[in-house]
Amino acid sequence: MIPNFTGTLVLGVLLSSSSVFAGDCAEADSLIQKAQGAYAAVDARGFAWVPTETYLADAKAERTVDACLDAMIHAQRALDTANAAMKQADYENTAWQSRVPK
Amino acid sequence: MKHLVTLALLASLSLSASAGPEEDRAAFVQFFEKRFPSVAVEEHINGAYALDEDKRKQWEALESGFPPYEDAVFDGEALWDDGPYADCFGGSAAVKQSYPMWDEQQGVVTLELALNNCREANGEEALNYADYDMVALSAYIAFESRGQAINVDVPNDQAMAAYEEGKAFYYQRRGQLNFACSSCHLEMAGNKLRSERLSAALGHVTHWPTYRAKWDEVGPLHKRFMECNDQVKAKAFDLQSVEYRNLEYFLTYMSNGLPLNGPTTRK
Repeated sequence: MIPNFTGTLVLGVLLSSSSVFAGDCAEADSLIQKAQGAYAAVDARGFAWVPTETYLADAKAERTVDACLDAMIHAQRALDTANAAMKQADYENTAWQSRVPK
Repeated sequence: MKHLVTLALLASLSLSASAGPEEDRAAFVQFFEKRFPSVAVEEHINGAYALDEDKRKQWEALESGFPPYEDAVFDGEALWDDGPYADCFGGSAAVKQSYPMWDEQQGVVTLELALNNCREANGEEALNYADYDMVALSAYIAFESRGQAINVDVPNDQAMAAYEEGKAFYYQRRGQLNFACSSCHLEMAGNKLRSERLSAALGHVTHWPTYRAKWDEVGPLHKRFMECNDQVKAKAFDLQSVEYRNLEYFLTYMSNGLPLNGPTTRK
């Protein structure tokens, strides 16, 4: 028989951890959506990076098994690499001209 | 005054980047003549083997025996004989020197696309571009076209736009490693990347399809484009995508006048 105090403590910990868990999953969903959008935008410009695809696929797979913290980490990496690729696309829009032999 | 200098610099940059194909080709050839003064321009059709004597000897030994692309050439000949191709290509398989060519409807038409056009015009299904039959047919055509000088043209403004797209692609850095095609095969041509000698871009298109030891099979030029993109962690495009056809158009124009020597072998 668990004493009342300990039982309340265990219940409290369980409840608070599950609420953090739910928050992680909402955050993961939001990040995955953002990363997917950023990836689609840079892919349309022909400058997508392979790691973005990999991170995004990992994040989606982790989300399906509710590994939301891992999903958040990978979705954030997908978003960061997609944003970096977009900066590359913007820069290369004109920078390539300086490399043409004259 | 500062603004005027900046404007003048920008104007000269934009003029040089938008020079016509023939000016581009002349500057391209001149670049490699200066970079490799002891290597004849035509030698660059042999890729890294024009720049590395030791590797060249190994390659020549491989080519002089039973080169691994031979089966593809024989199989391609049988496919040619059994198919509608002779009618589509004017009776001769020695046609590679004219591809890619411009078409109002399809844009840049590569040899592989022309082969599929021929099949479809004769009621046959188009082949997948990674299909062995497609590779074998193009290997046979490449073999029959050996020695022909590349002669592609850019006949109008639409073709010029495709050429310019291919040119931009060639010089644009891509992927997480931030490399352009030109990073390795123009700026760093002749240097070593680990144990591999980087070949010059000039003549890059003359010897396809090629047996690559790494692939353990004969494969098309666009497969090499995909591999290059993948190596720098850029998402590759599909075989015969518009992007790669335009790239092939630009790169082939840069090798105009060079003799075809495909198929061949590479590491």
